[in-house]
Amino acid sequence: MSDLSRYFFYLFSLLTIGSALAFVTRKGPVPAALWLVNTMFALSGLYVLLDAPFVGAVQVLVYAGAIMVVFVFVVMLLNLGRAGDRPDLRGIGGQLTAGVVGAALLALLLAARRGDAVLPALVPSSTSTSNVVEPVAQLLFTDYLLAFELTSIVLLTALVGAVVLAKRRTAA
Amino acid sequence: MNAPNVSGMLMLILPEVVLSVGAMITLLLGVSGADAGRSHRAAMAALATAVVGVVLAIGMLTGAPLAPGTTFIANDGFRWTLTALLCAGTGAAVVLTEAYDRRAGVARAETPALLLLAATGMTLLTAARDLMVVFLGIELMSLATYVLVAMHRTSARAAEAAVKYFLLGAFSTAFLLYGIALVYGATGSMQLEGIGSAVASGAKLPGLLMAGVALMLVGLAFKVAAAPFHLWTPDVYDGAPTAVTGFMAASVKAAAFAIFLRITAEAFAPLLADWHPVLWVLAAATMVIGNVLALGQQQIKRVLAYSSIAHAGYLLVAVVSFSAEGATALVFYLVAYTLATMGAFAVLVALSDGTDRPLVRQDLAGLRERHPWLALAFAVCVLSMLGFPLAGGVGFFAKWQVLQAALQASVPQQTLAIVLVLSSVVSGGYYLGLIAPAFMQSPVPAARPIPAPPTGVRAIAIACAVVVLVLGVLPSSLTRLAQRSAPSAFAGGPTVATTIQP
Amino acid sequence: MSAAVLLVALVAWPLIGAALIAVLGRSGEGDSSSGIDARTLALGVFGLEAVLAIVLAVSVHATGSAWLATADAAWIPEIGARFSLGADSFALVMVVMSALVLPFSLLATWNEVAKRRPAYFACLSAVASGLMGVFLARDLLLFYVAWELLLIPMYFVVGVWGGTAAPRAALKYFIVTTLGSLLMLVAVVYVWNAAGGISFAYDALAAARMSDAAARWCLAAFLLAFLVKAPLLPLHSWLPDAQREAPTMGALALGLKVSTFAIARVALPLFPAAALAEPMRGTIVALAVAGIIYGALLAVVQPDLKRLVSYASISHVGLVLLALFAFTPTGAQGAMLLMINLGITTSALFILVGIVGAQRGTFAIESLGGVATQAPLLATAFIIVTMSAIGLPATNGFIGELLSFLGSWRVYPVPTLVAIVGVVLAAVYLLSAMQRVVFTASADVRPFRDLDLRQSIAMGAFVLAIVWLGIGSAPMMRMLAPAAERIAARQLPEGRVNFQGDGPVALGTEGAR
Repeated sequence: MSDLSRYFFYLFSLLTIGSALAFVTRKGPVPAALWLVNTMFALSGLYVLLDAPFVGAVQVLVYAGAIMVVFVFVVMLLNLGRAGDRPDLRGIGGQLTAGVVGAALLALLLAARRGDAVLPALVPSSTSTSNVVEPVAQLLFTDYLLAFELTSIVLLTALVGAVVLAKRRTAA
Repeated sequence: MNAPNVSGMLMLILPEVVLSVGAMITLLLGVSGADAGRSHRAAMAALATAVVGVVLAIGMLTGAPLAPGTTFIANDGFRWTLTALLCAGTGAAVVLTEAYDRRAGVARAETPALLLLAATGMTLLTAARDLMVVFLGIELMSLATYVLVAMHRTSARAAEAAVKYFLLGAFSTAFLLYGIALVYGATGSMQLEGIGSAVASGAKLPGLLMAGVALMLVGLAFKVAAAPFHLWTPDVYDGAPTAVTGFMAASVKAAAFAIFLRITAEAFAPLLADWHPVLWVLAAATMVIGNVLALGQQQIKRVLAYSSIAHAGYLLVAVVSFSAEGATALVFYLVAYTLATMGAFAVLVALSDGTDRPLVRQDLAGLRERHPWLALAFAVCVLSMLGFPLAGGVGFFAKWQVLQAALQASVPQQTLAIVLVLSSVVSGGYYLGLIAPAFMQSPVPAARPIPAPPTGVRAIAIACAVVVLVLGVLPSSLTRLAQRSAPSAFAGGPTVATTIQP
Repeated sequence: MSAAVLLVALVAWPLIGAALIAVLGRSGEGDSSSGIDARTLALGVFGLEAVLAIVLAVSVHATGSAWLATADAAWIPEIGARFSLGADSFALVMVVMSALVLPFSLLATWNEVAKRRPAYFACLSAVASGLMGVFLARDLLLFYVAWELLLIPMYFVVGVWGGTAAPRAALKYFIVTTLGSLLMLVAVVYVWNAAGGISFAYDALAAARMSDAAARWCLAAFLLAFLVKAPLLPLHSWLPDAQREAPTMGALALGLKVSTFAIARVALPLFPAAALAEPMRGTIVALAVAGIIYGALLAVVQPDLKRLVSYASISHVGLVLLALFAFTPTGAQGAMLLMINLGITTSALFILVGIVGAQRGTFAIESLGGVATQAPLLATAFIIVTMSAIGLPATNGFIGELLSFLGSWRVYPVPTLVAIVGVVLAAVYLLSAMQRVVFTASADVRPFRDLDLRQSIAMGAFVLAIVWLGIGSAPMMRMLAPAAERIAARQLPEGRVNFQGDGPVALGTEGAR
């Protein structure tokens, strides 16, 4: 692991943990949900560092993109999103932290833009970064076919459970 | 990366396929046809599915020669015997939940379907040899059970139980998952066999491995309700619908123990010296805490909840023995315990009045006069839990098997054996406290008339009691079955237990 | 009928009978349901059992082997348990005694229990099966099952048909005895495992290789199970409670000397060397002697007649244990005779106490009295049975006590002297109780009914047994002599069997072997 990727590993780890902490300490549901989105983003950054860009992308798409949007949507639709009595992280400290983190991320982006000089060290020992989906798919539909199918049953169970528990009661 | 032998794999997971397809058919039946009999038809379909599951498992056990199976799914006696047991327990639970829900006026098709889905997860746990499958099986089982607990939505106690169960369940799953991740990180394998051989050849990251093993054990201890991870049990068992409580106490616990034993046997065997003392303490504490706390309870379901904790302790003794005898004892005990628990809960379902008022001992008063056969069945099942010979039938031989395993272990566990029997003496106090009112008091007029128990419930109670009694006189067949059912990991004679302390 | 069939029938018939009584029985006068009077059925069951026992007793012939009759069948081959029964002379006498006591005590207590008679007699019948199982088992697992079989029906007999404090007394009985038997279960598993895990036969287990310490612990577990039930001080407190609350037949079934039999038959032969080891042996002897005195003293001050009998039996058990743990042939023989005779005498005492107490609705001695003037038969029976309990010569109690003292004197002179003091005390409390009940007029002047026909027949049989065993016990002593010698010989493997000509007393003949 190069120094640079280690540096970013700690950055994303701190971001993940910090956002998760913020998520569970916020009073208002909407800020909490947004902190969770932030956690998901930082996690996907970690996945990318682990040479799993596909998982990182899926993480953003599924969790941050789909699930969290539904969360926030429901929260706002049901008008639950009242502000908590605690102040948000909008003080000077919060702004400073956000600025530093943003600068670091910008630096990463710029480094990536500059190309070959930094990137090989950042993402070491990759087999073929161009074709990342195929190995996953290969495993998913051969070795882990059983687990894959099982997941669908688990989801079915969750679905049935959610419907049963959330359905408006009719006369029994 | 070869293409897997799909048809061979399908044979090995046939019960799961049948159970999950049955669950979907049950769901469909719940929304088709005339309104009137929907839930009943669904329940019947679920019952039929469970019976097919039992038949399949027995067929696999007695039919084709058992091979070790694939790296994902085991194909040994342990898997098929426990699958048959769990399917049978699910069938009984289908009947009990239907009767209970009907009495409460909330019968619906989703309950049997969820029972089947839970059963899919449970049977998978008897076979899983890959941590991925383990995790999915546990999740499937737990998710379905969370919903089952919450099924009676008008009951505040059930809602409280469901929330508690869900939160603590998720908590324990997180432990387990984290543990799995760390173990994978340390050994580079998700398969129990691979983990076992990696550990045996010396892990590169012992600290990581230890942390992973510890976290996994904590997660599993939550699932089997071993002290000190038992705190959720009484509230959840008490608040859940009685029939579901029976299902959780008997089958869910059995499935959790199945995977507990397989993981310790196949993956963590080389680390025996490390986890053995921990489980030793857990077993002793679980027996003592379960039995002592059960003494002070007035509500029957709480008594049985603590008693189930105590039984988890006895079963842990079998795990701690860590030998083919221990595995035999575990299987034997699970059969006996499932029979007794299902029988006892069938009687409780028969006695419930459809409200969520907790049953107390007084509700059993004069049971002998109201339903003599149910009273006898209840006494037999409770005495079986106590492990009493003859009157308690097979429960005695179950205790015997555990004691035998403890004393025959490569490092004999006399102390655990003595803790076991001493805490059993304590259990005599509360078990008799359940039997005594049924036989020694006059019936108290019920606040709300209790309808005659349905035939199915009655049949389950009496059938369980009869089987308990018959196996209590002639335990040979079950002994042989249990001996065939030790996981293949124990097949190779004496195991590695050389460094553990008695 | 072959002896094997008889043995199996002796154990199985009461269980079948219990089912018959439960299914076919009818509660009696007030019960309009169809069926046969449960008492008649029970009498049939117990009567046939007694006949079976007597047929077995007369059909067996003395052979060279210890077992006069055996039966054996596979049971659980996986762990080597067999359904294996056998009777030696000691077991045979105990079987005959118990099988005879039950029908006669049923006759004597014909009307005592009014509610739920079928269940009551079914429970007692199951107890009978357990008793026979304990007496006849040759397989330790079978023995354990039979031993535990005694417990549950007895729990119900005490708890359901007992007095007001019965459920509590029954629970106490259950818990205390379960404590003992479960620890014994661990010892059973341990011994079985040490013997290779292939057999539960007594002989095979006795040959198990165990360390001295392990053998001692196992023996302690066995003895705890048996002594709790015997009972030995300080584990005795459940017995007076249970016997006080239990109906008469329950009380007397608790008083049959099953536990001391089990010590002689199971515990001592399995661990011959450990039984000699101090401090266990000395402790037991000391506690036995303490029990003799303690039971006697409590009986002296006891205002309740039924409890008095109970304490008297605690005192007597101490005597049996003292004689048994002397490990001399004479002592063993005395202990056996005591067990048999106490079974008869204590049962008779409980029946009489039950008859007297039922008429006044209390067991308080001060409320009872004046039997002699109104009920001569009852008074006569009372006097004879009391004499037997005191151990007067020419009653059955005498010879057993005498042999016990002779047997223990050489080994434990001081404890024996103390025990003799206990016997004197027994004379004090029993005579004074008898005098107050039979002769003194009490404040309560309601008339006593005399024995009715059934009770007369039953008490006649008891009196006959008391007198016959008192003056003609020679044949029985001849029968018991070899068994006694075996018990003593096992304990003294180094050829110290005979203490200078102190052999078992086989009156008049060279022995029956």
